[in-house]
Amino acid sequence: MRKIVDKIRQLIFKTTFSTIVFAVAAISIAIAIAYFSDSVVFFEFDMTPSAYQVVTERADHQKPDHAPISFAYQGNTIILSTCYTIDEDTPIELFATSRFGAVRLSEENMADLSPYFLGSFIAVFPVQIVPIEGQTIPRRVSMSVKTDLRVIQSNAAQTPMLNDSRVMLEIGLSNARRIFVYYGGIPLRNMNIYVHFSDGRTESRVTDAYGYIPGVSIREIRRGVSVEYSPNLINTFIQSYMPQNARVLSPAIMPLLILTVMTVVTIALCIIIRNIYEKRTQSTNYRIEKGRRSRVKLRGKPIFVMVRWCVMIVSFVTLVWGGRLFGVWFEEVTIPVFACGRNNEEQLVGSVCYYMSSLNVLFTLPWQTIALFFAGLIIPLILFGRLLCGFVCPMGLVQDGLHVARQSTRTKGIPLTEKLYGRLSLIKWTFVLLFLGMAFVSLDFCMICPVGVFSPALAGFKFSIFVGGFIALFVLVGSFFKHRFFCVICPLGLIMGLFHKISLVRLKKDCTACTECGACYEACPMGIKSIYTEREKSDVTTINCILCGECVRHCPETDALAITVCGKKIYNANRENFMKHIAKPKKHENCNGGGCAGCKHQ
Amino acid sequence: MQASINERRQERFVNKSAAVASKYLRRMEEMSGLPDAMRPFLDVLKDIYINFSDVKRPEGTKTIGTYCVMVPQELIYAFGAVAVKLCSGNFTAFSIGDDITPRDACPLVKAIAGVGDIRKLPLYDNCSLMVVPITCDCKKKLVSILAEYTKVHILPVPSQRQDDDVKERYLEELYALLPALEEATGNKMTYESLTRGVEAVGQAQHQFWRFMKFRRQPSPLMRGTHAMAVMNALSYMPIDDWTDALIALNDELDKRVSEGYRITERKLPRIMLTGSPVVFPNIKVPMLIDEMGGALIADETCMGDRFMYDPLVVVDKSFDGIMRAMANRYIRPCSCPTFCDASTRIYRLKQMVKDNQVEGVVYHVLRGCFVYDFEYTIVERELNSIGVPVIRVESDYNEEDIEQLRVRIEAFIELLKFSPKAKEVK
Repeated sequence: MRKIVDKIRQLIFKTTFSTIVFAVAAISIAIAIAYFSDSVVFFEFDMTPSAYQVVTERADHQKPDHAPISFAYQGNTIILSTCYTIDEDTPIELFATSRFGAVRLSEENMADLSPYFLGSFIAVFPVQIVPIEGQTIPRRVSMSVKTDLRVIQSNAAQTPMLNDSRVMLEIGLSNARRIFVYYGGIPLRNMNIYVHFSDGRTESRVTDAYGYIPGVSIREIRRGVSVEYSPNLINTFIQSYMPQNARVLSPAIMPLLILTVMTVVTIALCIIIRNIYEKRTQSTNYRIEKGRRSRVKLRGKPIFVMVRWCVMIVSFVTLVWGGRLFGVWFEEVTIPVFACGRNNEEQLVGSVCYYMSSLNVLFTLPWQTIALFFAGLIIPLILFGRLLCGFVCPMGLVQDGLHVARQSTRTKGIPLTEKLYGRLSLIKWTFVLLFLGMAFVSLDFCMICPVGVFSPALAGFKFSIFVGGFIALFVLVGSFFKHRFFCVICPLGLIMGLFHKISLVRLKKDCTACTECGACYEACPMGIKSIYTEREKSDVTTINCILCGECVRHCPETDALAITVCGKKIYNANRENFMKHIAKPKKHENCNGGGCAGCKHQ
Repeated sequence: MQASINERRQERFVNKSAAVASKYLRRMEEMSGLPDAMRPFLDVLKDIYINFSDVKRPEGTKTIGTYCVMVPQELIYAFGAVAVKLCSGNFTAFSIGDDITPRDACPLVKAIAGVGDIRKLPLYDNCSLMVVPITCDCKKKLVSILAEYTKVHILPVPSQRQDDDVKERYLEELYALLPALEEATGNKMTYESLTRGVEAVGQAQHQFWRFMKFRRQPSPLMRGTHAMAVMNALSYMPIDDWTDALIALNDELDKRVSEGYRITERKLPRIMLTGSPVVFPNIKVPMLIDEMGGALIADETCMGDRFMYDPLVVVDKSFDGIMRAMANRYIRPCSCPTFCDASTRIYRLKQMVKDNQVEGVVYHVLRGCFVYDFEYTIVERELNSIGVPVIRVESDYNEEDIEQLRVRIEAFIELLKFSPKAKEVK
């Protein structure tokens, strides 16, 4: 390996000329990639329901399922299973919502109609006459099965799809959270119904005043439920319902996997090239043997850091899969974090980034929506400020994870100087311009957004990522070598930072306690220098501060730095705690615990 | 056989300097309130200055000589060597060095030059390498004198510190120090040995922090002179031994707190010492403060608090990150007056005044120590603005000025005792 590296080094750096050739080649390759990247697609998917195909199949009679009839999804095929004996004369009728209204599907027209499907399918079974013991009149049972594709699940309650006497009863899903029942085209209010669950249970429920069925969890809905309603002694209507469920590990994750592999390769390349370069320049070039893993803890891990990690992980899960776990509770609410808006069906709350990057759309919306948008933007910023960046943003966890990866491999980072931050601020301002302006020239910031690669893919959404993938690669490699790299160039973060003067969570400094050791500046992922040079003001919250608490964690002076909420300190620097972690008690032989002079006890 | 001139000169040097050292050591031991756990520290001073032995260390361990406070101790311990601080307070060596250095050079440098001329101290002679930070002009010229008889590595120290590029340059200097240390010690540094070095210094700093807190108790638990002796002993002890001895001392002080012990029942004015380094046996200024009825509860000198106060803050756990942390720790918070702006030192002094409830500051200037002398005016102005009187005492490495110093320090302490502020407290 070393030989190869040496060979390459000799080849490249032999003469000034070859160095120049290498540099020109590298730059031209980069430009070429940037130029052609627009047409390079990592992985593209169709998200229109027209690509879905409906197949009916008869389930095995020998192995009766819990649910008599069910829908299942296999890739882009919807499979309808049933164990009912069906006469050949009266086959199952299939209906689909399409641009022409509800249409009956037959083998002939299915292919023609396919592009016009809107996302709901219903299979209607022939009415069955079931004799009941002890009663003279047999019961008429009308059965149907309904499914909704994911594209329409987040929408509010829909009007019934069919208004047919055979499908009097119809179930719908609202906000990916609750199911409601329509009967004869109007909500079924305050009525007694039976709910059959997929595990065989049957429970009696009363619908509420809007037709919603209380007490059915999203998980149960996702597994499939059947609702039985008898308006009178003769008629019984049953509908089974199962919404399409995205698999977490769907093919949609492929682009992310490709990106991960590319990131690892790029990081390795960067390290190799840097080693070669450093060997040449001789400065800061001293190789130490790695040695075995040191047991010395070089940094403390205060509770605040633990809490931050927990909050970040929880918020990552809820912002990526929250809708799946708990349903979409606040579909209209958007908060200022970089959670991809295209993942709107799976996350608990939305992100302001969509409307903010398409301001031309925002101002055509009804005033209520605009008001809600600004309320969702401004209220969290007043309450938390950029604490959202440090604690909530899913992108933050990705970057922190990469930082931890570098720390655990003890890889050298990059020098963090004002020069670097000066250059990065150029990128930041370019991003801000693109973020706010691209929509006005009929482009979309989502095309170049590096964040959009993560959460939709993890949630199982199929998207092509275009240029965003390459920018994401740049961001990921950057975050490996520099903690919170993206936050430094984040356009949304800059806009959020504008509120730093009024937010309730603040970073305070006691200038009399500060010794100007510069540890906070070293620790700050945003490179805020004023935090250590400040000598007069007690408030050091700046536009860039993401309130991650790293400066407080690394501050060795008691009370010199503190994070305050409404003026109350929640986390402050403490010399005693700071020194403790490095001077942990050392056990010596025959130690008898506290009071033993040989041990370095407290 | 007639001893050669040089041998007779060496003999005279040994006798005279041992006499001075034993006198001050005895006076220190006779002071009231000497904790029993002080013994190891006094023994070390005795070994070095009276018995003229080398640093007690495991067989085969090399020593690396350092000056000032900018040489990262962690690195030296990472290479398996022992760091010794060679800033000298030797009166006899000073008078020898007086002949070979300019008249206006500072006595500390004169003493080092004298030691180099006489070649009788194993502490200096056995050093595998001396690392000299270029802090002041005297240190810069000292390099040429030292280079005549030992290996010297120059560590240029920037003149200002807030600029990031300056830190990057100092980082490169630290990287350049590594091969020199590797050559001198014959050891390789591993990541683990580096973290062990960081841990050893960190533990010492933690104990020192405890020690500082005991010193600043409302009623003094020990004499300031003894505290200075503890800090001086660090220069000649492997850091782990020093930490262990300090743990014992801290435990004894802890016991004194719980027992309600105090060195005197009287309320003593709280005095802080700042300025030029106080190196044993030139310990007369702290000794006079103690003898004249002042409580020396803190010091801001490079042989004292400044050396151990600021901890190494490792942000990035990679090797480069630890080096960066060192470059940061040894430059940015350093209150040495070699830097152009005095603001860091002023803030540090004000902070110490506040933390320790200091009533008066003694500003110690060694004759010819320009950088400290320059900062006196601004320090006096700033400290007076927060109501703390400052006295400037200039001394040299001899005992002729001791009575004059005594009068001045006594007057200053009397002034503090009867100042309106002190009356308010009563």
